[in-house]
Amino acid sequence: MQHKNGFQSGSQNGDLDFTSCDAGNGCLNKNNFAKRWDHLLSKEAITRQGSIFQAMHGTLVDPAILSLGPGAPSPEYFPFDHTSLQVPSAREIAVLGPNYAKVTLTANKNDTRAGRSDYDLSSALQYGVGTGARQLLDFMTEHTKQVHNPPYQDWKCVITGGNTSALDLALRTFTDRGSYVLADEYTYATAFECASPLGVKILGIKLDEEGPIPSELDRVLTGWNEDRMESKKPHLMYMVPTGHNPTGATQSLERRHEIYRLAQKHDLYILEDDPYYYIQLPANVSEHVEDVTQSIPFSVVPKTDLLPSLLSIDTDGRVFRMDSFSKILAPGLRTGWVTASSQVVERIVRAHETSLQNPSGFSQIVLYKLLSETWGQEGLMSWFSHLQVEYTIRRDALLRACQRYLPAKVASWKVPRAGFFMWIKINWLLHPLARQIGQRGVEMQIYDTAIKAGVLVVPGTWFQPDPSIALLDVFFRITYASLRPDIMPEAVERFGEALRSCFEVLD
Amino acid sequence: MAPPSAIEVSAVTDISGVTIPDPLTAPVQSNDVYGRRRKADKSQWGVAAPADSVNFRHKSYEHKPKAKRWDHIISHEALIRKGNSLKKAAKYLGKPGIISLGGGLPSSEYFPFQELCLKVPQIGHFSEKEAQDTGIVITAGKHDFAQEKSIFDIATAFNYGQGSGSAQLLRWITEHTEMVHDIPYQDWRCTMSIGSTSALDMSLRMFTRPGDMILSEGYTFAVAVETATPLGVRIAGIPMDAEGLLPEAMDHILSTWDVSARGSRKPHLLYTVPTGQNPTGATQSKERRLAIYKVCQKHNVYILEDEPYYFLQMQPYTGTESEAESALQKTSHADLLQSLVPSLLSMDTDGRVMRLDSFSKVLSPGSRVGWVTASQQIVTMYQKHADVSTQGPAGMSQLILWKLLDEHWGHEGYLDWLGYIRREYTQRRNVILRACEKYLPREVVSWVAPMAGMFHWLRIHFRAHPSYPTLSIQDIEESIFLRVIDHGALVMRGSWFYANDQDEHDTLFFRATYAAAPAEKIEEGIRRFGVALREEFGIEG
Ligand SMILES: Cc1ncc(COP(=O)(O)O)c(C=O)c1O
Ligand SMILES: Cc1ncc(COP(=O)(O)O)c(C=O)c1O
Repeated sequence: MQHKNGFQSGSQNGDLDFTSCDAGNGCLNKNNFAKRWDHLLSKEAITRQGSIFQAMHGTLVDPAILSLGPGAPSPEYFPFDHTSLQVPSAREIAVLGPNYAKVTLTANKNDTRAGRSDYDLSSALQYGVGTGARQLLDFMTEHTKQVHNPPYQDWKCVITGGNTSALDLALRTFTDRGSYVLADEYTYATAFECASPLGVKILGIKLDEEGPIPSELDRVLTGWNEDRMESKKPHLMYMVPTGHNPTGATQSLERRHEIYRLAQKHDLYILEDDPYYYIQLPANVSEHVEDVTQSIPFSVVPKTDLLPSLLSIDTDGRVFRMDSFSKILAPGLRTGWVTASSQVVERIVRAHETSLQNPSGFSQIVLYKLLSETWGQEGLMSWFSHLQVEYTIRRDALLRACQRYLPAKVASWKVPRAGFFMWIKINWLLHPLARQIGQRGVEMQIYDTAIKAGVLVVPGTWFQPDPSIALLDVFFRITYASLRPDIMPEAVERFGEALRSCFEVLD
Repeated sequence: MAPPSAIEVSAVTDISGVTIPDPLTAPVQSNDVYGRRRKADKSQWGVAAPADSVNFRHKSYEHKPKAKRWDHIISHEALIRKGNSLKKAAKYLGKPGIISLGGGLPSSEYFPFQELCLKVPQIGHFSEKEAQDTGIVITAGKHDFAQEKSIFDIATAFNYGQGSGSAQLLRWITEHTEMVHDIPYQDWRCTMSIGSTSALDMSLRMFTRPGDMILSEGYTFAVAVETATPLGVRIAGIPMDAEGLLPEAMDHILSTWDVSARGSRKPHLLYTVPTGQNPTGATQSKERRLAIYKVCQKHNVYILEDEPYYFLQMQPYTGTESEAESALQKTSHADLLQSLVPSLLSMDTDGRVMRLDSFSKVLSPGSRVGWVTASQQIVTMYQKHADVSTQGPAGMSQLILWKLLDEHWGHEGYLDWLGYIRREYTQRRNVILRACEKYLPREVVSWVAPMAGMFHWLRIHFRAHPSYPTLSIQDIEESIFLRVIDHGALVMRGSWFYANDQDEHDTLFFRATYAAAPAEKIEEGIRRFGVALREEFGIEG
């Protein structure tokens, strides 16, 4: 692991000899290893070979060898002398809002040679390796250990191109055409839009306010009839355990344990898509904006304890956890990280080599400079606390607006404990034409009326993996993520008007 | 809570958004192309209007034929792929006064990035040293767009974008493409990729199904094989000469295709690297390209034209230093463009070419940005796929490239840069060729001077090997390879680039690159290679 040269890259950041290194996570003290998943891998994943060039690795790191081998361009021809970026200083994130004191981080072309940094532009902008830059990977591995501490020995992280890309690769690794994947009855639309072209069918599990209902999951799997379903019993489950998109639900710890036990019982492998994990919010809604907007120095922000992830209860290594920088730093970095057993991570690294290769080097070096050289592990946790405070303000503003403007008889909701979304349940049976036009008719009318009233809300059916399944309820998803809190009352008032006019409700 | 910026990205879905830059108020560097940029058409930047390269073309294409349709070879996967369902709401985002509680994009307020600075070389002062000494610092602020300083900023670029890439950079890319290739059909489009490796993966998924065979050069880019194999796709290698793949051979393979012997339907896809091919360094002449295109028409074959080395085309190698030096004179933009062998794209009357371009070899691989050019039908499918997988290149890379290419250098500055790179690579190529002339035993090794790219392809006359035919070609290759390593140099084995290792091979090659090492190391490396060869073949030094 001490190799300084990645082979394909001739760069400084690589350790291509991926399979032979130790767990790399510093968790050698745990004595159980992950199970093997050979029986669940797709044809595509099984056929995926390591690059033949890996054979060269040992040779290239030998300083006595003059390489006329790999054809990467010389960094001399990268027209970037340095890049710098202003970011909040770790200690000062305390001062909330963008008034935080800023520090400038700078990456020069040849910092490494000059002994200034472990990572510089000449290697970030060179071809890299499918694991992502070692420097950033080390930081995320340490972070994962601190936050999730997976209870088995041979887990690993890999830097990905964000969760959408990671999901695409995970599906290609674990499914063949015609197989079923279990998901929630309402789920993140891109997940099934990504899956269905692969010939993968999604079966939705019924939800309650804590996510998928364990007894339902058990029932579906226990009663699986291969002939009737024309497919093998599913071995893969996709879920968004925290601040679920679209329902806003967060699985309690108990729920997580129940689902994990069922996964063990039925040999299910779990795709844990958790981009909202760090945006966990307090249960209580503040009555007044002022309660939360006062700048509270960071040290005294009441930290919302993070619920344990599925990864952190994963004794078998059956969880493929996807984390993303999109919601916690910026989507335009197109970077995230996956944690799973080393067998599975190795398959993803191979898949990277013949697709995205690795995330943008600009993104990787900025993340490394920000996280590793500027903030450190604690600084990153402080940033999460800052986000939690900010999103709490937004959530509470939207909730107050809903209490005030939505007709209580028609609309109901739960307080989201994480993420970006609120899920409004519509008592559709109260609609004067409920019997005639049904759930879908009511949903459509509300959607259209809301647009006429000047507000866009998203119909629940858009999140249904299988739209042919009849629904019992009508839902709309609304978000507090990006709308300014001062506009929220107006937005919700319009939605309320639309509901009133559809349901002919007079208060 | 911070005062929000006046202009935010509007969510189209949870993972895509648009801003509305106003090209009228935005300061752009003026050069020829900018002067001609269509100014009236504001709607092209409109809310929720996906960036469509058609809006960025300058020439008129109405009189040209439309591309053929390719439904019959599109994979099931690509055919049934739908766009993002949340995009259904996009059309309403343009409605004045509408407030969206829809797409859940994070607010730029929570991006911990304020100001991005970048030191880059000035036009004409491109060397690393000059960039350091006289380079200029360009800056992107968080809210430059709202503050009318620029049409692209951190708030926009660091948020979700479109699978096609941002309108800002896509405009530049489309203009560049139009400047370089005279595309003979009407409905061509560009869309961004995250590099050609990914574009290859995505296009194979679009055009093939498991069990298919596709065509390519007999020695080919190893990653292409590694990408195809897990998809259940095998490659039929086409014999080559110094100008790359042989059209007659390709015609023959297709005309005599035996489905049962090959175990696959007749190929409908050609993967080719026409310029500075990896690994052979071969460059197809214009005539060769025309002939290949004709064969593709005859058998209705679709073409993936992978061209990362297109701008690394050099002057012919003359051997004498003075002539070589004169070839290094700067050329005008017109001469530079004129000197490039026309692309397959520019001969593509049918719209049967998907061209892959990449910034990897000309700016930097780490930016992970490239683009594809093809007919609208194909590009639309590509974008849909990007929407649900890569989501386009990193916004940060896009912002940086746009700052450099559009705001700072402009098209002309970029052509100057390409001219600079080309001169540099010409010099490097000359170094390796002179070293080969000086140090290699001509009786057992021969070569053709590469006209483009990064690779020098050395043919070994294995029949002269003392152990031939007791040892097989591959054994001799291995023996030489290890001996070269013993002598402290590394060259790549030709067999690593077999398009299909099931095929019989009666050639033995090594690939040497002149892309990265400094001149003295290239020379020394070749010298060591020569020593190893002499030893191996028992030739007196
Ligand atoms: C559940 C879920 N997964 C994944 C994503 C996208 O993540 P990324 O930006 O990392 O691709 C989103 C974004 O909305 C999401 O809600
Ligand atoms: C023929 C060919 N295509 C594609 C690539 C990779 O391009 P990109 O960096 O855009 O993925 C290479 C790089 O070696 C190459 O030689």
